[in-house]
Amino acid sequence: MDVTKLDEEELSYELRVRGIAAMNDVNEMRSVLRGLLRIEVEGNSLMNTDSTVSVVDVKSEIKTCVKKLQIINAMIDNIQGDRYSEQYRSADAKLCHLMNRVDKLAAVDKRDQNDRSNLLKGILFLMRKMEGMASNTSVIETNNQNQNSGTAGAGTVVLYEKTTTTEMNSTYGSSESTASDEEVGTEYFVQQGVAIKSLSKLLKGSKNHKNAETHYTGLLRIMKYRNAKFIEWKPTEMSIFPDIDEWNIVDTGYKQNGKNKNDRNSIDIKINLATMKSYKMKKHKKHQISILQTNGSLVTFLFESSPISDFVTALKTLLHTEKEIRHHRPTGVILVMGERQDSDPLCQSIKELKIFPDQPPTSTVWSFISGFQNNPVEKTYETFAKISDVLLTRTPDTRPDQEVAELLNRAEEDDEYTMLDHPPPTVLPPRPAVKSRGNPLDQTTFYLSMNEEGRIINEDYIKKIIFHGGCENSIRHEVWKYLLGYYPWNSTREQRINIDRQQKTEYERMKVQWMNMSPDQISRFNKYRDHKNLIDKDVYRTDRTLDFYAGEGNENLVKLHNVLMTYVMYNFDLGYVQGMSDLLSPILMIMNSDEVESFWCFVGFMNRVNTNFELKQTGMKKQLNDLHYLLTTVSPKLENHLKKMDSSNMYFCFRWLLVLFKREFIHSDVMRLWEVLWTDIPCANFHLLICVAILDNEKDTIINENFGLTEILKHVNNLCERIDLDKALTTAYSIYEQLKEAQPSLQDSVNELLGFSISHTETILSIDSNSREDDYEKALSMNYT
Amino acid sequence: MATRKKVLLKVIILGDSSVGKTSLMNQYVNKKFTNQYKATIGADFLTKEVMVDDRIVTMQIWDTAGQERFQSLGVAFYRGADCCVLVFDVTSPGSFKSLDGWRDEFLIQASPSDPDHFPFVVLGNKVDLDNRAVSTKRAQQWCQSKNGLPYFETSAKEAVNVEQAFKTIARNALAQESDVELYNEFPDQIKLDGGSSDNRSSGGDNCAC
Repeated sequence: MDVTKLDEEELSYELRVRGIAAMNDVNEMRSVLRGLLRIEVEGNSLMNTDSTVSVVDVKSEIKTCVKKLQIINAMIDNIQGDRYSEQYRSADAKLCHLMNRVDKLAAVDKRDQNDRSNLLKGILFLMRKMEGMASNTSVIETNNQNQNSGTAGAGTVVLYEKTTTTEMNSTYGSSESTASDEEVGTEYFVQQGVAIKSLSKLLKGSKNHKNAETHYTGLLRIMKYRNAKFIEWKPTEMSIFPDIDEWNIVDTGYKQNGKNKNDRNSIDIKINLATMKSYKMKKHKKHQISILQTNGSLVTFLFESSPISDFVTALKTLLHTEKEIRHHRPTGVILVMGERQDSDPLCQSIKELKIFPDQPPTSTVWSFISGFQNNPVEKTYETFAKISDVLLTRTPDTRPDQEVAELLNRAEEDDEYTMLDHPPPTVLPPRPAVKSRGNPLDQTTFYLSMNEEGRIINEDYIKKIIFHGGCENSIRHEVWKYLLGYYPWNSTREQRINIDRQQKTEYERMKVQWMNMSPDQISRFNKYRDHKNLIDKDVYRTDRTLDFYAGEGNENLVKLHNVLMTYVMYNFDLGYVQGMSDLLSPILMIMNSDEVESFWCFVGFMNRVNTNFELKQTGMKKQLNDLHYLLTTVSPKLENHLKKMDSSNMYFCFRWLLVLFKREFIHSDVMRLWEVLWTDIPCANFHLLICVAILDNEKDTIINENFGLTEILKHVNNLCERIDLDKALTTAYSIYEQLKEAQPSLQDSVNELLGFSISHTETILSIDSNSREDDYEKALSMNYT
Repeated sequence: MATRKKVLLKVIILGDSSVGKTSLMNQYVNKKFTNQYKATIGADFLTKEVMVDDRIVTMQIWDTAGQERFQSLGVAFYRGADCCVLVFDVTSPGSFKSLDGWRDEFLIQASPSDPDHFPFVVLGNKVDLDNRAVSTKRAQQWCQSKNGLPYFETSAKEAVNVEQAFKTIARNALAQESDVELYNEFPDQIKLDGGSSDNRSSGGDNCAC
């Protein structure tokens, strides 16, 4: 480890673990550490570097390590020279430091352990990445390193595994023996104090039990015995939960095993992961997860708080899962697609490296880790040497795998957003010819579709016309209110008058809230002030080239401002985010500057796209990821090129998606496009297919000119106002039809995105679409009758 | 050393919303100003060929969105930057206060190899306006506290100091670029100590220097 490359914080850590108090002078720290390292290498160290450091806060230490990992990753990406360059050596030294540091992390709970193993995995990945660079320059030197390598005995393996188990038991204060009278297995997850809600088997009997139920708390574990993995639950005590709302709904319809109150032993539960069909999580006072098995039995576990995410994480690492989609939306049910082959993430990465070719994966992992534990210096040498051996003789794969990629890009906390694997390319049928664009919806057709009360009788018919041809400008003022949910389609004239009145009052009420804010009050209301400043600035530069907003002192700018400010009061958590003024601008024009109508239509629009504006940008990331997924299916050739050019992040489509092409088309086209999207025909994610259609049209240029990320971004930005909207729309629709035809052979996630039904669940679940939340329970209850 | 490679300098412009990032870039590259620029969404760049000390270099100037939450996606474009331009609006104290944050953010995201000496250039824009709220002295003090960053007061609208500022940006970016090349051109020099004791692994620093 080159001590000159470490920064102050890193130096003081290295010294601290060697029992040396903090010093003020960085140079002094370096020289002391250098001396110590030399002694250690010679094997004369009196210091015990093995002891885990008493880190005050493991979580923050993990955070620091993740940050460091990200920094090193970026450093490696920026390395311009060879392995002797300053940059390479810096990254190298920092990586060594990080490895020692992660190694010393005293991870107590499962989540930390998981983080720790992911960190180790990330470090391994970066080591490979660096070795990949180094291998270009020199081959001879690795011999020296090999001589330093030692082997970790198999004995340590068992020892370490045992320690982990003991540690775990003591941590969770397990009151009953966990494995004493059982065969010994590997523990993937353990949690004390998990309650079980219901335990159903296909029994006939009483249907209703609406009173308070008896529940049992116990120890929940995921275990592996020989080749099978199980979710295990054993009761520890009995407790009564008060009746929790929704339980009635949840439980109605399936049966309780009447005996289990008396016979505690009979309710030990063991679910083979191989027989898991699906699960669903709920958060209602307590976190709960319901697991459905293939034989129809259902078990619901109740968690006190956050450990449920650890449990789910554990499940996800062991199982291939997919979200279930019905009616174009995720139902919240997670379908189990099968078990993962080799679940331990660390295990996988090491296996991939093929450093230890002849040993079973588990033992290699533990020997690897215990090696680090017992002799970090030597083990590090050894691993580096082995890794360089592997990598010098084969081309390194520089794509991080899923977990590592996630870790490297991880924001504050993990969210539901996960990178999807690349599916094998499906051969699609030719793109069918589709109806060319039709005529816009005209006034006569629109008003004729209403009955004498003013209800629109054939909503679908009207939407279909709009999908194929848009709307005449003269009736947009009316039609958009339906499309954006301000008026229900089946409302009567009278009801609409009521809506107008109510919503006007409601708007005025919220508007007064910000208008009455005194400067003094605002001076102590930072967040509000930030939103206001941003709105002031953005309003002034929104569509000023259009006559409607042109010129100094334009009244419409004031209205734009008012609606946006009122939206801040309406949805303060989201507030104002750049891009919103772009979405509001055409609406205000169409609504003839009516603030109330504009506001509520804007609310309707925002309800569709608010995830685009989230602080953590998860919505945008998901869309970019989904878009990539669709492109993989529709245009594998282009996707291949993007992958080669390190551009599969699809960032060049960011502007398209954030404001739904507002900046890409001339004003009249934007309105036509939005109308089409608001019909939700043919599916909810049609805008992604439009992206695919446009990109597909540019594919030859992008591939033939060998564009990289920078050039693609430029090219895409330059398409602004040069895209043929009608062509893009018909192509997108044609792609939709093409995919629909290929539907049975498509990946479930593509089907999910496009709202194609996934066969095996659709058959059971086609009952009622109004309350999606309860479908799962309903479907489950059907399983028992 | 006989033939010089064509040099591409990547410059990133950062700063709060509406401080004039897009305007500065357009004034420098296209010699144009309009107050009809829209808020930048995503990222975009313009290129310009310039002469710096007898060398022709291509500047690739990146304009980014100012709202903080969009930064996470900008990271992909920060990589390999040769210079970072921090812009604030002299009429907005808030935008001046944000400079620290932008600088730190850049260093974390782009993680240049030598953060202490990475070239930043600071621009106080909109000096054509009357309602100035950040004094030259205050801005200079801040720049001084960050290892003496070059500071320019500009007006993208009236093309004040824009050319000069970007000249410095180009020169400093090029200096950064040449530092890197130096290592590429003389690997042997460093190889000497690398060959005798291998520095690849943990604790392996036997050099007593």
